[in-house]
Amino acid sequence: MASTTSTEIHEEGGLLDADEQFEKIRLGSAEDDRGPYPPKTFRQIGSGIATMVVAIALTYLVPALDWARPWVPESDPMLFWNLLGRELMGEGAATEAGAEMLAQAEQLAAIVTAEDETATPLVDEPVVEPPPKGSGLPPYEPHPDDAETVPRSLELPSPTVLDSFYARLARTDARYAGAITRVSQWGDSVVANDNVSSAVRFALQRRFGDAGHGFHLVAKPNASYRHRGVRFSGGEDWSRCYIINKCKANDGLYGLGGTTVWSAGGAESRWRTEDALAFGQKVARIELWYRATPKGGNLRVKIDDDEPQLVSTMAEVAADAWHTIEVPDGPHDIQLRAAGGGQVRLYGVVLERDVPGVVWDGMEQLGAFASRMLYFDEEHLRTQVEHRDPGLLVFMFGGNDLLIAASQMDQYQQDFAAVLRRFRSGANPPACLVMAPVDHGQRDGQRVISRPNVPKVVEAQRSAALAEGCAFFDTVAAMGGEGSAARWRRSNPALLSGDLAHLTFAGQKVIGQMLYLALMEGYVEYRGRVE
Amino acid sequence: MLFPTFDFLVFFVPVLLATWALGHRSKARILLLLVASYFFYMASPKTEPPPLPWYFAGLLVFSTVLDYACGLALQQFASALDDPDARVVASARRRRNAILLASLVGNLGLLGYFKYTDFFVDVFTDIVHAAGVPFVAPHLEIILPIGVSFYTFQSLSYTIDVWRRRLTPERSFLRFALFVTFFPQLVAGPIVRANELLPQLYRRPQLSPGAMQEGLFRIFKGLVKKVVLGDWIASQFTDAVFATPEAYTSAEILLALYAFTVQLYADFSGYSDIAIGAARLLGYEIPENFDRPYQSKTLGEFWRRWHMTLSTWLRDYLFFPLGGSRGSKARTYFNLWLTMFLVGMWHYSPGTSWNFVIYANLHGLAMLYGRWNRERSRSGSALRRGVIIVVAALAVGLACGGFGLQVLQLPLPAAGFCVGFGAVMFLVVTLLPLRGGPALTALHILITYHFTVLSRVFFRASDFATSKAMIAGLLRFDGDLVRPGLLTEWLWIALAFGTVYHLTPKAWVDVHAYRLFRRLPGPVLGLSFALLGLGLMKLMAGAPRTFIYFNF
Repeated sequence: MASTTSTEIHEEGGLLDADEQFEKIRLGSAEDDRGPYPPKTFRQIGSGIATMVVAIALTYLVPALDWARPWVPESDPMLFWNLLGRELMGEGAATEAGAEMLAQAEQLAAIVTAEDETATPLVDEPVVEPPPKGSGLPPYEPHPDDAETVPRSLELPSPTVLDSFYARLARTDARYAGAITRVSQWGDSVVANDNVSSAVRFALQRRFGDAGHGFHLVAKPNASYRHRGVRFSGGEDWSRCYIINKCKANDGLYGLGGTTVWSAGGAESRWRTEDALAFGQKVARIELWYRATPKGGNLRVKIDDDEPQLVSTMAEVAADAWHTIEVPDGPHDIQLRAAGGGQVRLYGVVLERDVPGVVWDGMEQLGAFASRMLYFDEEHLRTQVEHRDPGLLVFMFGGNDLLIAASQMDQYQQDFAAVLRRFRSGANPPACLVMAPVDHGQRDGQRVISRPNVPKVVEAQRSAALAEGCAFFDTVAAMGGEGSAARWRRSNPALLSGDLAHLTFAGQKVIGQMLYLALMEGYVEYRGRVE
Repeated sequence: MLFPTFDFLVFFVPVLLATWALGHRSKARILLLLVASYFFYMASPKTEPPPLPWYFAGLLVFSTVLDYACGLALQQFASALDDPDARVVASARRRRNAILLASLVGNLGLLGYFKYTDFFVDVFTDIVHAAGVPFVAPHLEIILPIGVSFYTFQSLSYTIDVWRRRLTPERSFLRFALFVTFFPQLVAGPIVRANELLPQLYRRPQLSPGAMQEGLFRIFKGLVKKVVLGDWIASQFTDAVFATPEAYTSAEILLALYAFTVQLYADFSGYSDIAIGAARLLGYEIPENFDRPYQSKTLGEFWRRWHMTLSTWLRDYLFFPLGGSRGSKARTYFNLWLTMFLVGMWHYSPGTSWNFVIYANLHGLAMLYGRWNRERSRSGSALRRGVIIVVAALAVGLACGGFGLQVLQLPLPAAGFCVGFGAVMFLVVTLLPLRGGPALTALHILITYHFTVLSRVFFRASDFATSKAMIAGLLRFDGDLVRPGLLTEWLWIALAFGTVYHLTPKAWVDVHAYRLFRRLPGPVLGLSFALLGLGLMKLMAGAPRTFIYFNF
């Protein structure tokens, strides 16, 4: 007969169940010293250490084994870096240079944070009728920002890769009627709350004119989605599919902003023009981006106190579609509601004006690896980008890509290049710009070091961008290179947040300003070249 | 310096050889180990900002000198305690108390300032804000000196033991300084008490072929645990989920918590293994820090098996002096809660805000419950007992729900789930028999394990907002499983291995695997270590993460 052992659950006792026990220790004064140890004590371990040392030495003596070297003199920091290696490697000077870069960033932060975004709204300059084709632009008038120090220039595979963008910007600069320069930016959590994009948007709009806020989603894919220059509310009742979740039967139709929403009725969203900032105070054109389907329902759009209008999303053949509503240029309150009659599926709205100026779309993809952009259906994405007609595509991924193993960087580079190609698969692809991720730190004990994978990801992105004919902005170098995560964290004001991965509000503005200065450097060079 | 680095190998092998050579020359050996310990403490990989070695080392020297001096001063008045004159005794007692107070203030002040100042500022700010008062507190961003939580406890143990006359003071400053700074355990434990290490420093290091094999085996085991199960799982999965929980499904968040549970154990016990192994090769024994904690049947047992040198330190130097379990029930419960609360709060790391307050209280309250459940009367009216248990279950459920709604700001359905979950778990654990067969034992282990898994949210999240996002994501019950491709096959294998390994009998590794290991010829051992180093280097691309417990 089998027997089962019955045990007491608490029989071994918990931490605080024991009684106190102690013994008195009297520290001795005499040393127990019996001379050297017998040699056999070390025989096994001694031969083991010798073998290991020989094995390591072989990796340096045999060139074919160089892949197995535990320390590579040319690329790895000197051993015991902080005590011995820094000066031996001549990096004492590099540390000082890093400090100088930090001072420069702090100075920039002081300037950009002092700029009053709540100042009087921008005044629209008079619009000029464009001259007949081929008659050229008016001469370039230097701008005060041209004298600013550019922390980091753009890297270009050829001097003319951004010319198509600059040509549009030049027409906008000349205030030609209808000359709107659009830029569409995608990025991960570093740009998730629109601060980097809004910083560049505001800087460009201050100089070239405010042509509107640009693209905005119908519902927040996550709590971090927040745009500056537009007051958005509602959206909670929409069903939604965010690209990184590969949902909605993986049909690849996520819309320009990477999040599609749908409702059979009742879901609402509301956008109001800005009333506190100097930007985004006016809108003249509202464009609804949606998926037309045979069973498409209705949208009810209410502008201010006007009578609501119904927009049907029904079509014989399913296709991406757009509906534009013109309103007088000024402040407006736009309410959108799924009004039944079937299911509506939306991609977003565009808020624009008809004055010459710049529009900078911020399409933030929180938590996204760059390769997640390959979830977009190719044809759908091409249609979306072509309809938007941006002069420049900007990509700033990499924060999540840092988790990719260093050994997979070749594959990462290929994937990144594939992403660029997918966005530029149209007949006349827009110019493009890749921004490297910001420097990311990690705690080493109580200190902060740059994550070892940062330079590898930056290099992979640089190679992919330049090979695909895109400009490249080395954000890490602009921040001051390796170690800048720690410097930006301890700067005053703090430019990097406590998680050592995301920029603070001031840090985002600084990066935005750095990008703006780099773009303008290229623009001035372009104007000098074409004139 | 980090253990799994080439720097450490280059540092350790010469120190080892020199220590062996000086085995019979006590003073030279102690001086060598002392210098090596300071070098180990201050040397670090490439960092920015540059480390502040003199500042960190200065604090270490301060703690050493303070307790060395306190120990000698206490001894001066020790004989007076046996004087027949009561006034002499009283005077000696006062002076000795003042000396102890100086050590407590010095060490705990050091710890409090560097580790908890920002915490208190954060808490004060939150409370003031909750009262509706606008207040912007300065954030000092104090850099926590590495290992301060460990070495302050270590030197305090010395002074308290001398004060309690359980240890005679150490007269040699060098020997005492080595006890405080002995490099294998300096920065992340185990916390070695004076009565464990100081007597060993009087003896010739205990070196033998067996000690060498034991030391090498512990280092080998620790490296595998630390790098494969600790760092690799983190770099491939858990770090990403805790960085942006909004981007992951409920199932993935739950999996990340299981993964972190494996990772944390592997990280810290791996470090402890390497520390114990390195000390053993030098001829010294330092105490064990882990004993398969996830095999615990109760939370009390868990804390007897997890970070044993900290939990037993607080038991011996706080719980027992407070009266332990000898006083009234209320006093015992208070002592128990306070001890467990401080065990939890010891783990606080800067920037985590309320996380560790919640973590510490969860464990403290669970320990109180565990004792209540064990000691409660199981005789008398079944109806009365039933009513008490049901009312208590409802109260626990409502407390869980209220906590979810008000503190974690969960949506109503999720808070409702908390009510049900809290009440049901209370009923299940309360009604489970305390004596039974293997199935019951397995059930207790499962429940205890899951309590530790779920409470780890507050342990790992970098701030309170992340904890809330993790829990909200977990309770979203979105129905999606772990998305294909998120984890590689190797990662699944590592996770499964890490979990199952922990539940296997200790003897499989510590006896059987060790028996095979020690029979290997020296060259095979050397080659094995070289290959292990190469494998780990390739796995982590030469970049070991910091030990999690460095942050404490």
